[in-house]
Amino acid sequence: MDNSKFIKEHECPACGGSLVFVPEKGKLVCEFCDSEFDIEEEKEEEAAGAADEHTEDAAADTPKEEKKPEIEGFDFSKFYESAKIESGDKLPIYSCKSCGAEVIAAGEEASLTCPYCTNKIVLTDKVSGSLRPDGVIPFRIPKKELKAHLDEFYKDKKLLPKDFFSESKMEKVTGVYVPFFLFTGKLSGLYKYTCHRSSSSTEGEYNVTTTKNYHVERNAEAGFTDIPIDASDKLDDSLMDSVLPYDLNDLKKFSPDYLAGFTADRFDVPGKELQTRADNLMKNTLRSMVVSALNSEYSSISYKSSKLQMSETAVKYVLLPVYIFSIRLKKKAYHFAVNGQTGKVVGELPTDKTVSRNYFLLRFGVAAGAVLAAFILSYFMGGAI
Amino acid sequence: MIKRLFIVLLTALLISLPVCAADEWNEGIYRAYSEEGQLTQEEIDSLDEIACSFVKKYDIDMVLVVTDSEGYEGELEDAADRFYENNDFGYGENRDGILACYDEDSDRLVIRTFGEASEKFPQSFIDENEDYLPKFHINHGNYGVPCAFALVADDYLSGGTSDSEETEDTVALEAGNAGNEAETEAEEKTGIPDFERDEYGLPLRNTAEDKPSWFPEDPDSFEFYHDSEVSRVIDKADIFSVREEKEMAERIAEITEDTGKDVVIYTDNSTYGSDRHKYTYDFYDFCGYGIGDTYDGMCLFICMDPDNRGWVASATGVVEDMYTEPIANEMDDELFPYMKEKRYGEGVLNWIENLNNLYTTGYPFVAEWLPSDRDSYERKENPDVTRFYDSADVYDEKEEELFTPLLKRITDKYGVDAVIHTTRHTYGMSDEEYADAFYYYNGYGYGKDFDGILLTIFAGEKNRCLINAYGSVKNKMTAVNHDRMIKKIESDLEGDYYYLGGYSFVKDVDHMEKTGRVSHSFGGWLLRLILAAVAGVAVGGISLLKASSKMKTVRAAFNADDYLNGIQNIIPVCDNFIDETVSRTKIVKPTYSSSSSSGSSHSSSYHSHSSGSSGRSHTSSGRSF
Repeated sequence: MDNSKFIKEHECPACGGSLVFVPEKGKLVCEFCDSEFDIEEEKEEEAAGAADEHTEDAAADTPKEEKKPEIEGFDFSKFYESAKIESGDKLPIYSCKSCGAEVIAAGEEASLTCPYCTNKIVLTDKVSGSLRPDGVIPFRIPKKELKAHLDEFYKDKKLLPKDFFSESKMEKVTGVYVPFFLFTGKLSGLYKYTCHRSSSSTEGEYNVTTTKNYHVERNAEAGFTDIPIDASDKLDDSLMDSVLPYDLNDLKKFSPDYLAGFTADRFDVPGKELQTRADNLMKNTLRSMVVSALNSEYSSISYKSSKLQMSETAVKYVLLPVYIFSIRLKKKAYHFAVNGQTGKVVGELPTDKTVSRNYFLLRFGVAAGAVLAAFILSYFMGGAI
Repeated sequence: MIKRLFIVLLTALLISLPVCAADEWNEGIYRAYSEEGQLTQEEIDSLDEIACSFVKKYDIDMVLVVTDSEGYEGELEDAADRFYENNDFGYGENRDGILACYDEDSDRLVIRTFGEASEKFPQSFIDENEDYLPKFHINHGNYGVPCAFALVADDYLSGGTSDSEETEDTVALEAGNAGNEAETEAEEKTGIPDFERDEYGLPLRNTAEDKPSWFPEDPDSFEFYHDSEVSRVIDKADIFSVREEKEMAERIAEITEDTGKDVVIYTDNSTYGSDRHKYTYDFYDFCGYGIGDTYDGMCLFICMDPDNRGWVASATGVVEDMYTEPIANEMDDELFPYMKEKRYGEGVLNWIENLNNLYTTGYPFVAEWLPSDRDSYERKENPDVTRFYDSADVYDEKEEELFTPLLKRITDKYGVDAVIHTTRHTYGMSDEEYADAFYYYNGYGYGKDFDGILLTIFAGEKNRCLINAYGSVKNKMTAVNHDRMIKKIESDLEGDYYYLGGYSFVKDVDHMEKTGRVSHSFGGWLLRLILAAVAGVAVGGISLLKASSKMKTVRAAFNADDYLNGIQNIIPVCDNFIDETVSRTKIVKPTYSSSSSSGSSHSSSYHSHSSGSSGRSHTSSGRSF
């Protein structure tokens, strides 16, 4: 199967060189002649069918799930089904327009570099039609600035091994547009609790504690906007949660030009899992609101049940910029991610027991010594302590 | 004729009979006699009547004498014999008779027999009763002893088997009868109602088992009265010896006469289910105690009920204001060890002395060092005075020997007096006043400014101490030095380590005079070292935790709080009451020490202006022991 029709090459109109997206300029720049080109806004009709917001009604005819969702009123799977990923056994072959080489692209990759001519290729079929993202936040932080952000990140990391900077090796940095779904909706429902109100008094030689028990019901609702849930199976969820937040005001209409020079993935996490994660985050927020309100009224509470309903739901499929890299120290790789918009660095860090011990002892010594010195000084000065 | 002769003969016989009796004994003289008014005329008449009845019954004369040590010369036995022989006593030609002579000063009774009486009363009878009968003096005064003797003698000859209790009852009854006429007059004068009395002279009003016999049938309509005749020492629990009772009664009589305030000692084995305080009030109110319009006086009631053992000291009238809580505590503190060690008589006699001090000076104790005339006291340096004055007796001799040279060394070395004094009382003064007075009136102080330092240890259930600096020592005794010194001594005194407290004082005074500072104790330094270590651990630990948390930058999202869009509502649907559970937990209280409830073994229960069944106000304190 030749999928070459889906390849969009970024070739410099001036010299035929490869064009890449340069974050600091926000433009496509030729790697050879440095010619700069604005990002091409796609025509409205091109975007048609890939609704700006995929509402639940968009896939109303999708067969019903066998299991009833925990929160009624929203079935993300209907949307998700409309954008099923390619399966592994149908690896598409793309033909490079620059050198004619046949390139095999994994099902989730949406942009790649031709291994023969290093041409930057965007696989438009991965990001078009129902698979077309609703938006993209372009990279703001250029790769060369990463070091500065990392140095800032390391500043307050006092427990790093002594040889971390001399012995560690930073592996290849990859700029990735990570697929995220932004969930919007209003969660409401009825919470049932058994609550207790206690009072104590003294009767003769006894302390008397009276506990009144109540059956309490509360209707609660909370509206949420654009809760980002990463949809890339290859990336650790916690790592992606930590790299948040993004300024969604910067969200641009999707253009394949933004992907030039970066890796871009298509979502590959099962829809149910994504919905569950979003549901749980919303549920936790709503429940903590209810608990906080009840705790101000009652001495103690115990949860009984709840029935929740989702409404006014909407989902956006967006690509968010993340730099991914690993730092290898003594054969162990520590994975890092940098928010491509804000420069926020997150990642696992090695700690050293000796450094930790010395860190503690130094502060212990200083504090204890200071207190002792104050006592001694006070004694000789005739002070009260 | 025959009839006329019979009448003449009968008349002659009737006339001759008293003449014959008069021949056998001289009825015209009193058989009861007191040397210096020890017996009232009514008592003499009563005893004479008893004695005459005895003579008529047994043809043995009976003579009853009460005297004192000044009423005779030589031995009491010889004096008694002389008295019998020199007067026209005796029945028949052998002048048969028995004489009982009681000396109230020596509390001694001698029984002498004459003529055939010597055969009728064996020596064993005499010996036994000479020992036993003086006890009747305690409850029945001078009248009690001869009256008891007459009854015992009568009983013996009649072959009766009455025991001492019966005798005592009868004596009391006779005592009542003896003053019958006088009583009737007295009743008219003092308003004492007419009632029967028990052996102690207490009223017999109630036969109910749950009430004492003196308790009135109708307390609400009870009219108070003063009864000077009723005994002031009533030992129903029998915890005092005869001698102790006598001593108490005599001392009480003196105190009452001097101060015009009553003193009553009462022991019993039961309170008839009543509260000890209330029982004491009732006893005092319903038995005619108290002097003057406000019935001034104090009553010490000791209850020996094994389940309710303790005492109550109750003040009435003007004594209520004198018997303040601190004074009550101090008096009870003093009494407690005696009660605990079962030295009841000794303790009560001591209590009576303290009460006398309270009545006369307003304070129950008197400091031995306090000059009687404080105004004319002239203070002067006294280098020979002891600098170790252990009034509270908390140090042993060895310790005293150790401290004396240590304190003298400081005086010699630095020219300041260092004094250690222990006491159990402040004699109505505040701690500061007491310490200053002690320093001043004992002539402590070195040089013209009387430089010195005094440690006063107030020993008691809870020891406390005071350090006072005088003259130049004041300059060195900064607040810090004072605190350090006091803290160390107090911590030693808490455990009754008087020696360590004293030693710490000596060491600190020495160090302060040398360096101007008082050092921390070893414990103080250790505490500071521990505090520094704790501060170090806290700072190090918090820093490490903070640094560790900064190393963890990867955390899964838990909620969507950051994505709330402003729609947040919680609407109450229902709050339905289901049920109620009640749990009870018994309060575990430590040893109770309040001023208004039942006393523990180490603290007084103090009731201010309370009342019993009569409604009259009393202030009392008491303890269990």
